[in-house]
Amino acid sequence: MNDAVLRVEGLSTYYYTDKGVVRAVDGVDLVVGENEVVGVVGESGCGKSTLAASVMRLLQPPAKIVKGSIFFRNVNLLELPEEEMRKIRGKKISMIFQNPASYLNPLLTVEEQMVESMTLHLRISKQEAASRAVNILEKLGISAPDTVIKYYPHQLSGGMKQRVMIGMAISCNPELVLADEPTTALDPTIQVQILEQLLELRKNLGLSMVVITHDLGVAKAICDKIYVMYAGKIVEEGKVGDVFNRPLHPYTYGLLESALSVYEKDRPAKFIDGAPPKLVEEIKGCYFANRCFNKVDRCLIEYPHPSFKNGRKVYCWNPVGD
Amino acid sequence: MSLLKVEDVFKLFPVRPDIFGRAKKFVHAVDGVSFSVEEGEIFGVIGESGCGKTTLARLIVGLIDYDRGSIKIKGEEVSEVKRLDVERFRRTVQMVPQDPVMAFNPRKTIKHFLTRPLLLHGGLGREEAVSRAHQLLEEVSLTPADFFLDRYPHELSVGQRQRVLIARALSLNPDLLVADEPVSYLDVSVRGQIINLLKEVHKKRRITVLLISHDLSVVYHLCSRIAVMYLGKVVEILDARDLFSKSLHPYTQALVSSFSVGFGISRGERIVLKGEVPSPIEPPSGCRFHPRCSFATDVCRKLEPKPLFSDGRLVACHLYDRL
Ligand SMILES: Nc1ncnc2c1ncn2[C@@H]1O[C@H](COP(=O)(O)OP(=O)(O)OP(=O)(O)O)[C@@H](O)[C@H]1O
Ligand SMILES: Nc1ncnc2c1ncn2[C@@H]1O[C@H](COP(=O)(O)OP(=O)(O)OP(=O)(O)O)[C@@H](O)[C@H]1O
Ligand SMILES: [Mg+2]
Ligand SMILES: [Mg+2]
Repeated sequence: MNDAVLRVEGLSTYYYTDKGVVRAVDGVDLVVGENEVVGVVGESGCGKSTLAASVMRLLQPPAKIVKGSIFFRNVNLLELPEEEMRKIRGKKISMIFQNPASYLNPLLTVEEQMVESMTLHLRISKQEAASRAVNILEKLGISAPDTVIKYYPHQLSGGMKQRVMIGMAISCNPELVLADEPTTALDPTIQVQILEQLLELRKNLGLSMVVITHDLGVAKAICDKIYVMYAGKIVEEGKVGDVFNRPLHPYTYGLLESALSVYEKDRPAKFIDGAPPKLVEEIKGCYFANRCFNKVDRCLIEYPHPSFKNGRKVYCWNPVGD
Repeated sequence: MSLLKVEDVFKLFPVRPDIFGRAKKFVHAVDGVSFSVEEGEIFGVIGESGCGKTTLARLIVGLIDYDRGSIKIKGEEVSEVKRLDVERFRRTVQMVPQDPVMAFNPRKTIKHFLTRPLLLHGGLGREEAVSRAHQLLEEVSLTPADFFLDRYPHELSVGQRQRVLIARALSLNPDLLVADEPVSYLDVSVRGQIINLLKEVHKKRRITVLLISHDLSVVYHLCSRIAVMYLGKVVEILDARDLFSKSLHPYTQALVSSFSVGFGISRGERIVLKGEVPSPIEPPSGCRFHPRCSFATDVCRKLEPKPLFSDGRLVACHLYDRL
């Protein structure tokens, strides 16, 4: 396992609120191999962004990493002094944030924001950085990039903000990109164009990626491997084709059914009935048991041990199709 | 009767003159848009990122003023009503904004955020408002509701915040709901729940909905008709059932073909749009889509196509001389 770019082991990140401890990430293992694209899918609120913020070490109190390690090329990021981390963040590992609007500085133009990190990390002049920025925006399908670069964030449409964010994340030739819902604000034609750009970077620069997405189409189009997350834990992992063609975990099965049902116009959309557990409660059995169509007695008593099959892994006492 | 009638509406944004101080230029964000939405309809708007959908939404809910044209809701001009009777206007039309993060006041709890409009415009007392907020959170599957009522916005994930915004927009029972990418941050299962919720309020309370979304499966599923925008203009209006198989405009066809590339049921080859995305500051002559259209001829380069109407459908393209 030495050729892993990123190896997250037993990571737990909790929020210490006055209403209790929110176990947003709870013992997560995740591996990104060299030049690999790994997808993370899961319910809104299950801890995906918290996982990414943990890797970037960008958590704010009351969040705290309580357990585990995060190895980036065999260096445990959690043991690095902040000074060292700053050299990695934005340069070797960069992040496409889920909510671009809150990460873009409203008082600076697109150019000012893009140039800043490039002059810092790439040691190039402002002029060089500026022309590189225009180039990147053009590749991302932004029209009139030399005008847009002078815009302030409020002048950009949702999808334009998202593409500026993507541009910033790839501007310093990172080795690993954490992309948190990178295409939510993009129409299908631009979405395909952006995905192709990312795949090209992967080919030409050997980029590895973690892509958090609820768009199963995006996941299918660019990921090699999929991790399915539920209530702070990974419940299933495997090659993208395997997971999507023959889901093992009932939660994954429910997700795929929900996605497909929307193509039927005259029926109600399918969804997984019930709500995920509040992450502050102690739960004995499987966290998904209260919503599961396939549960057996054991599910309410004991958290499932992982079972392995053909390079796949699932945490379930009674997987689908067994 | 049309609940919403948009007629030849324009909105231009000035851009800073360049360093040579050349004449001021404008972004043609909404450039002569007309359509109407019938009462009780769910009407979709789709189109390329940056084509003017959010600007159109903001014009309709009165957040910004149009330069020209007319927007009427229930027969009344928006620019007038919002000036004369803000309170009534707020009850008539509500919006779910595209960005679920900037919409909140970071120092106020979700309870405050949800009860405020009910107290101000809904005529409810304190207790009633809280119990209504509670109920709304349950409707958008943020349970246990008590837990979420006491949270601050930053304590919620982005998808959770998006659902709070949907709850708030529905709280006043508006006649018209303008929803700008309301499910963009939701996983497919929660998305399914919200879709069903929108269908239910639409049916039970006869709310008319203008739905903007990049997720074509969602507009297909929810809408009766869909308007397709390209560079500030409406290029096609079609029956949702025709979206995947019977669209007429080459831009719509390209959009649909890219969508099916992913998870959707693949329906033939993807149409790759050639050339650069044209600038909304200096839109192309003739048909705005011509530089990227593989069917473009001389007439497309010179002459802007006149929209053809029939039976609530519309197409603006020289390939067709009748509908
Ligand atoms: N500052 C905070 N204080 C307390 N709880 C928090 C805080 N930030 C997030 N949470 C909780 O932690 C859980 C995980 O949040 P996170 O943002 O990681 O979810 P997510 O999987 O990214 O969801 P989404 O798909 O909606 O973006 C959520 O249930 C959220 O309510
Ligand atoms: N305040 C503003 N000042 C200048 N230009 C603006 C302003 N607001 C929007 N624009 C421009 O108007 C055009 C349309 O933007 P709008 O936000 O309406 O697009 P959109 O269709 O909603 O796109 P998306 O799907 O990416 O959200 C864009 O070119 C944008 O840069
Ligand atoms: Mg998130
Ligand atoms: Mg928009």
